[in-house]
Amino acid sequence: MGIRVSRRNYAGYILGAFFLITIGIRLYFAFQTPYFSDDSSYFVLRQIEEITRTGTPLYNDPLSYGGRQFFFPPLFHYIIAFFNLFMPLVFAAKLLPNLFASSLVIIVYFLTKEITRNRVAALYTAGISGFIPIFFQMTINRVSPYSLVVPLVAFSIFCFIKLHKDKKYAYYLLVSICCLTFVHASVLLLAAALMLYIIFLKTENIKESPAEIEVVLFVALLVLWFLLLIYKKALLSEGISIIWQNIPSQIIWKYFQNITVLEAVTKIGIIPFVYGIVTIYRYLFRKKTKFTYLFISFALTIGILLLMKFIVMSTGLMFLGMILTILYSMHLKHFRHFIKKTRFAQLGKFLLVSLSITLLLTQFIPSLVYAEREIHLSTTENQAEALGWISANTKPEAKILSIVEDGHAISYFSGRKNVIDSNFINAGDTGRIFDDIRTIYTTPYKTQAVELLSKYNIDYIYFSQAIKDEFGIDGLRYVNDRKCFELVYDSGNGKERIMIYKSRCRLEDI
Amino acid sequence: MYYFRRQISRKRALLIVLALSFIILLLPHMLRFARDNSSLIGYESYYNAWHSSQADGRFVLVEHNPLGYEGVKDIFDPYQLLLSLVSIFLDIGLVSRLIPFIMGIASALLFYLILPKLELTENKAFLSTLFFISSPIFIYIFSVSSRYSLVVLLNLVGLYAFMRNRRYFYLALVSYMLITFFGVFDSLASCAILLIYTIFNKKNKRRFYIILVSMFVTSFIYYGIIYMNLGLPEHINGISAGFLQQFITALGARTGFSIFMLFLVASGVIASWKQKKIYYPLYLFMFLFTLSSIYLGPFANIYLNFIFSGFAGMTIFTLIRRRWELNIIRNLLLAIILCGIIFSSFSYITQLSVSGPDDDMIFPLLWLGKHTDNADVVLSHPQNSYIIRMFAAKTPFTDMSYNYAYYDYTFGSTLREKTAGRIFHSRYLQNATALLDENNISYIYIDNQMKKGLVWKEDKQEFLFLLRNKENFKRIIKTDNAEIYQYIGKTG
Repeated sequence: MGIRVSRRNYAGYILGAFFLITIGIRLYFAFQTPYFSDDSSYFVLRQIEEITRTGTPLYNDPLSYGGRQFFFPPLFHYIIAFFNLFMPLVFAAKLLPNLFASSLVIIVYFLTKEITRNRVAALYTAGISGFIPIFFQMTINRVSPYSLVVPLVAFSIFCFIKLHKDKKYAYYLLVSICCLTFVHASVLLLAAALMLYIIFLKTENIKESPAEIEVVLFVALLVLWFLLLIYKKALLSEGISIIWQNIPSQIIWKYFQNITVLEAVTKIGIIPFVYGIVTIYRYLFRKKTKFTYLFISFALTIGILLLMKFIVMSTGLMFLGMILTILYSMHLKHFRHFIKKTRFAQLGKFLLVSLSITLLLTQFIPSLVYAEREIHLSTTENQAEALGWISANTKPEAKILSIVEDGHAISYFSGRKNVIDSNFINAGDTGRIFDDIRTIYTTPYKTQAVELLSKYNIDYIYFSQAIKDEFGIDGLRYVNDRKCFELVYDSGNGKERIMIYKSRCRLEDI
Repeated sequence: MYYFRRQISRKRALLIVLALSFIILLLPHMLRFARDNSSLIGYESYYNAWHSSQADGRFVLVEHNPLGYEGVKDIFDPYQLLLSLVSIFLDIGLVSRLIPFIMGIASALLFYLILPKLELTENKAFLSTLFFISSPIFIYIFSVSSRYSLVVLLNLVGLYAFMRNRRYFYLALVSYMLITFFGVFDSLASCAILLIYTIFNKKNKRRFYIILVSMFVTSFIYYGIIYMNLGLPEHINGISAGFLQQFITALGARTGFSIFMLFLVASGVIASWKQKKIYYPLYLFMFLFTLSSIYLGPFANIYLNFIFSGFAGMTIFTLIRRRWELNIIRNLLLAIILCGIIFSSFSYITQLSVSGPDDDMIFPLLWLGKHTDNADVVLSHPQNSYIIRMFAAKTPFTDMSYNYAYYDYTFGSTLREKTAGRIFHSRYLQNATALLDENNISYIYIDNQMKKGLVWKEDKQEFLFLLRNKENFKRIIKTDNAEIYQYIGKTG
């Protein structure tokens, strides 16, 4: 007597396998290095350390920009800090974001099963969602709140769709939205998409349920209020330009880029991108299905914000990738039904296999390539050592000069003040600071360098390959004067050579 | 559970409105005193206090300002005359607090009494009044000694009297004629509000035309005399910052609206859109005055506040009484709105209570006034012009009258502001001293706000660095918040 595996169990096993494969591959890459790939991760780690130590986040940071105030929702940091009580910080910071990101597979399965009523389409989409290249890249070796935000948004959408079936989903939705509000400001996207959804229903004369209106009203107000509470001071100092996060104009192009179709296709995957767009077209201009408008609203909101450069490109593409992947499930369902009615019905399985291979080549492999790239971009042992030397050999109040990309790492590894980092909100005139830093590194004149070093009270100059590449220089041209500049650290010859100079001279008033 | 099932009694509503407005208007002053700051709230208060003390209870249409740099003509302001008359019996500081306070309470009560006459139920009127008295605009204009406290009161008195029977018509007429002395925009705005009522009411058209003609004639005569004598003003009050920064309090607007109020108004407009044939005058008014706010400045918000409060009250009533499918959402939504309104009002009150000027800024000026005799020229930021006049009895080099008076006849103020900017941002001693000599400046008054963003972004920057030159500048007094330098390097 054998065990009969029902279809439901069969799907469950496959889903479980997808989840395990996703998390397995993520953790494989993540644990190849004990360090992280982006500077912001070290900001998060410092916040987690502070929460573990004192119970509250470090809103008044004496190290960032030499001392400033932060504004951010702290739930993500608290979650990891909680697990930090039971496991080492780096382990928790590697494991949990990847776990959250992998949960998208499960959420997307249930979501797409709800809208398509087709297990095969749901399974395929769940599998794809685990390997959206941009999402994979941005969350694999980074302590990023997006690893939690994107699955939470998907879960919120799932609960919203289930509202009309069971009111208990209203409670789940409320909890999910409240959590989202406390995790990241991009909850604003969800609120905007829901409002656009209601407008769509009204213009298409589709009746919305009272519960939907009530939820949308509540979400809009809650998000608006909470974000105002958190970002009030930043809003007062930056005004509406807080949208662009006070990023220096010299580097804003790195964050708010012109999006090209090729880039979108590469980072989302050609199949979900193309067929997601096709599905939008089909449902916008031909069929009118209520819940598809929800996804279309989301896609349009992100699309508009990306085109108008109101949202960072990587963030926009992550959400767009998720939505187009979900929309693709509807295309897949229709495609399968269509094939069954044609003379190619017998080739159904063959077509599915071909699709799987295509997805492997266009989703899975690019995701692995991006992951490999991310690991190579992570902080090196050399850098950690140099910053560790600073921690051991300099005064606690010392200030270290480096570029934006090193700011948080400097504070984390060395516990010393930085001049600039990637948290630009409420950091003053970041454009001027950026220009001054560029001048310090590129000027041939000692007096100009000393004037600026005095202005920012800089004690040490950090000089690495990344800085050479950033400014197109081979070295600092004024450090020959040993009276003013002493080479206190040199990692030795090699591609990743790091030097640290102590600035001994100051411009003073007489 | 259904709230507001029964209509609230008028007596109870009036008592609650009275109590709440009393507390709300008292709080900024109490918090200020608790911080050992006995100065008036806002620089505008000193603008009105100084002019009132100069007026000395006299009605004068145009008067020369004795502490004006290049010649300043002060135009008659009814609010300043009122302060001046009352200050014959009481201290000007107390009067500057008391008069707006009393007018605020009176305005709150009148607002509540007016709304039922616009066919709002007692409950809706009560809720609208709560929004009105918790609005940042109400808190500002009745906490700071502002001419708009009298404008708002006159509008409400006029409208209420207009709505009553004929016996009160002359009160309405006098109120509206007095409004004409505040400016053309205020006259037009008041007429617009009266017109909306007349359209809704369809009666009293004759009375409306009488008031309209009277206002027109009064304006014609009054402004005719002024323009004939003085010509067009150098400044007509306009915008100084972006629209959103002047419209939304969360973005820094002094007389703006909270996000919750705007949310409720937008919801109210959407919900009432099906009855647009009835509400179109209100929509038109809101549209035109929002445009005015963009181009003419935040003064339009004061009139928008009447309509917005009404809409917000009606919307919140609808939300309360509506049958909800998800009661938890209703309760949470109402809780958020209530918390949001209370929080934003309290936050605004706190902000107002710590706003400049403070005693540390005034003390150096008092010292300067006591230890020097001449009406020497003092260089500072324009917003300090009236505290310099009031406490130091000196002539400010720059002036900010245009920010408070609708018509400002301060001649040459734009050029002097540019000159002041050149001095403040100068890096070379020779250039700075040449300008100081050319403009006969004797003192420089610097406060912390100027050092922290108003003029400079950092200490020891530009002119602040030059002030350390002891051959040309001598610091004569310093407190935690302000310092005065004497320019001793005068040539010739």
